[in-house]
Amino acid sequence: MGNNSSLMLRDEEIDVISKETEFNRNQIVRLYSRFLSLDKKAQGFLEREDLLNVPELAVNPLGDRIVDAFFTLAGDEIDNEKRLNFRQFVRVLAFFQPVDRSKKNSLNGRRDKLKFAFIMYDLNKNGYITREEFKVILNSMVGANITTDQLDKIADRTIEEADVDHDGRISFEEFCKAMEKTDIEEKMSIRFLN
Amino acid sequence: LQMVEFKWDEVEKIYIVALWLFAASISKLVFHNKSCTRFFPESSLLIIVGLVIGYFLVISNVDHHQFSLDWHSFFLYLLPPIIFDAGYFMPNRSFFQNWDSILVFAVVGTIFNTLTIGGSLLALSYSGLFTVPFNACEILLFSSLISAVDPVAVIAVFEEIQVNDFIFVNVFGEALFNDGVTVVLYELFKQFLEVDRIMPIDVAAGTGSFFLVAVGGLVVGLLFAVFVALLTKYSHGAIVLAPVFIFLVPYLGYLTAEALSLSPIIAIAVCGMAMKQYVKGNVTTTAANSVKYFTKILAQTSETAIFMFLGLSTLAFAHKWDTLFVVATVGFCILFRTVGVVAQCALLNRFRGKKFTKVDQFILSYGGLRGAIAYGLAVSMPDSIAAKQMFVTTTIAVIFFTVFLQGSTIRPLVNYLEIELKKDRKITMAESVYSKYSDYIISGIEDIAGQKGHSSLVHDFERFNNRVLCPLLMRDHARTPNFDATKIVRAYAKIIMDEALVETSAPSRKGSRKSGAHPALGHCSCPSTDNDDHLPDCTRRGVNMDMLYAAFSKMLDDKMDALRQELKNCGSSVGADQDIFDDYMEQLKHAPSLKTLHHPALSATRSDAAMRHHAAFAARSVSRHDSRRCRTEGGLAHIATPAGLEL
Repeated sequence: MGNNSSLMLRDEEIDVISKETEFNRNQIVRLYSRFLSLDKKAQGFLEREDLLNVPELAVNPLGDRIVDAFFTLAGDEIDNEKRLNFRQFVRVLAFFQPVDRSKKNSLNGRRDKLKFAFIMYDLNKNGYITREEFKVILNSMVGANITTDQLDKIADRTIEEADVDHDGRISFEEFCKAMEKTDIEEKMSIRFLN
Repeated sequence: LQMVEFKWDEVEKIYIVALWLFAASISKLVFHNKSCTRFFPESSLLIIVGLVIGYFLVISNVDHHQFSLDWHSFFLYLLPPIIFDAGYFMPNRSFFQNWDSILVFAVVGTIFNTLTIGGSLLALSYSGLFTVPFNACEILLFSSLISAVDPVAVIAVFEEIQVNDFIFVNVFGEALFNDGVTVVLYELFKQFLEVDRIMPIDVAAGTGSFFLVAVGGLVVGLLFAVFVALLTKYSHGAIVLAPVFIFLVPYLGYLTAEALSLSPIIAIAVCGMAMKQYVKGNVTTTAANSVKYFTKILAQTSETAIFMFLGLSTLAFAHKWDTLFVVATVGFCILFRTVGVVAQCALLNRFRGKKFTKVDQFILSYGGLRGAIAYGLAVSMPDSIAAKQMFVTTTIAVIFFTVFLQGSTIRPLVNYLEIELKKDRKITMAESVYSKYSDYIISGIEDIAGQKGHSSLVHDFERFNNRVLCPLLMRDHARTPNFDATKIVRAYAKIIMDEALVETSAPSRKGSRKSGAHPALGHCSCPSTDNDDHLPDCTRRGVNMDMLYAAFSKMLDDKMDALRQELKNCGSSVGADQDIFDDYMEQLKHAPSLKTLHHPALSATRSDAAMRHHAAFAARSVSRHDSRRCRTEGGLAHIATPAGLEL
């Protein structure tokens, strides 16, 4: 369902997606037209290049990591190429909905938002962030502005702060613990337009 | 021939001014004692002092013109430092996150309040219960000045209770920017008084002038901010000059805006907010600190003086007390403010991520304090208005009511409602990195989802800032397409510094890793000693003292290298001018004129001497700072920050 190149979005699909992700109808339709505009080759699914072609993403220092995270979280691997259909596209975006405390939402809770951030750090997807991985991320964000020495020091310091069991790397639990005082719900939320 | 003369007349005026400031400051010193301020905010205590002094003066038949504040001087001399201080120290990030609500409160809220309060009082006046009659224009003039929330009063009260940034920035932002609206409405109604009939074109002109005044003030503020930034960028030859510009130029902006009938308050506030980033990058740390302190000094003095004079002027004025009018005004003010806030929040909450809770709304409506600006405007009403005396008296009554009653009850209310207070906890490295990091993620997601959200706008501005504004306005700023790392680096430096200070103030624990109890509980001067977080933090870093001293000497070496480098690059004159020397003898020794005489061979020794002096100065500051709390200021920051960093 929705996996093949069906370019029209059927009502039942909208309902299913709506139930799954708590987006309302208008939001889903809007996202669908966005999906179509990203899918330039009209294949019915998105590939990495499609997302990387978004112009603003090119100047975002974390651009390719974000795209990577998208595909890790929800993509299918077919012929060694990661593909993202519309339903998966919306599922990932659903992570960023504002947390509505009254609704028991499964997709955009605090842990899920943190999961997205964690996946972006964790380059080799082994479930741990090592010092080197963190340095890579920090470097892409900060890069030219500070010396390697300072970069090392900052990376070391950050890892040390969060590394509770002193194994030299950060697990997802440690990551959550380090972030517990941060206002994740607010920082990692987007108001999706109707 | 007289040996000693008593030259009172020559110094009389200025002596009195100085005496008042002195009296005000002494009172403030006395009130800093916590037991006094437990019940009443400082501002109300100052008013009481003013009242007391005024009473004595009145009894002793002193001409009240001697001590009543000329409201002209109030607007030109006393108000600007406070607003500048507010703008300079405004938490910019919180401000921009809430700009929508601030704008709505400032504009819609003020207009709503003006119309409703004025309308209600007018309706009530038809019943003929008020002693002095007034017409629609006059009452609208009055209601326009009474509905404005006063920034001075808000700062005075909220600064003491230290609520979280979110509430503070909303109340305060509103107080600051509603001046634009108030000024327009006030002038508008003042002009309408002269005119017999009000045509629709006049109303349209009024609306147009609102935009002109507010936006004009904004533009003036930004322009002068750019001036200051450029001036500080090119003034690094004379270090002492930069702070002068930092104060003078915004003040010029204030006066310019006032001269052009734009909003001077908005101008100087915007100027302060905009220039901070660039100015901080252009001046030395010491200069930045002195700017910080001096701004605070000026602002505090002005604030103190204002409240005291408010008390004094109460007695200097011939009052007309109309109980019903006063009660009605106070009642309507409270009522319509609450209604207004609730309605606006309901509207805003539909569009905002961070919603206003009921408690937030309560504090917002309760924090609508009136202050000296309203009084100033009331007193400068045209005398042709028959009800002027009644208006002024009522204004004073409202101000007293808000400052005394609301000001004193707000602290217990805040505690009772368990409003989140400003968190003073130390930010971890992970958090400051994450803060930046999440901005990027959200911006990217917004781009993918195809919507221009708040984050992407901020992101766009940051890129513009880095690419265009910073190189233009800041000295030595590398053109960086990526973001400005200084925040993260600063956070890192700050954390290291705080820890280092903790270590040095704790008694030496040789190699004790994770000792059970905190060894220096009594002695550790960390501000958050009774916080649970402190314990694991301090014990985790159970490094022995030798390592610490090694780290410190390494940092000192780094700094010396950096200084040497700087001296080599900029020539020795910069090194010598880095500090203001302790006395004139020292200054003469390093005077630039001597430099022109020196031999190239001597230049090495000269720069070494300068460096040694600088290092000695810095070293002295270290010992001074050891005994202080875990804060990084002044000299210690110089020592331990690696090259190129500024805290």
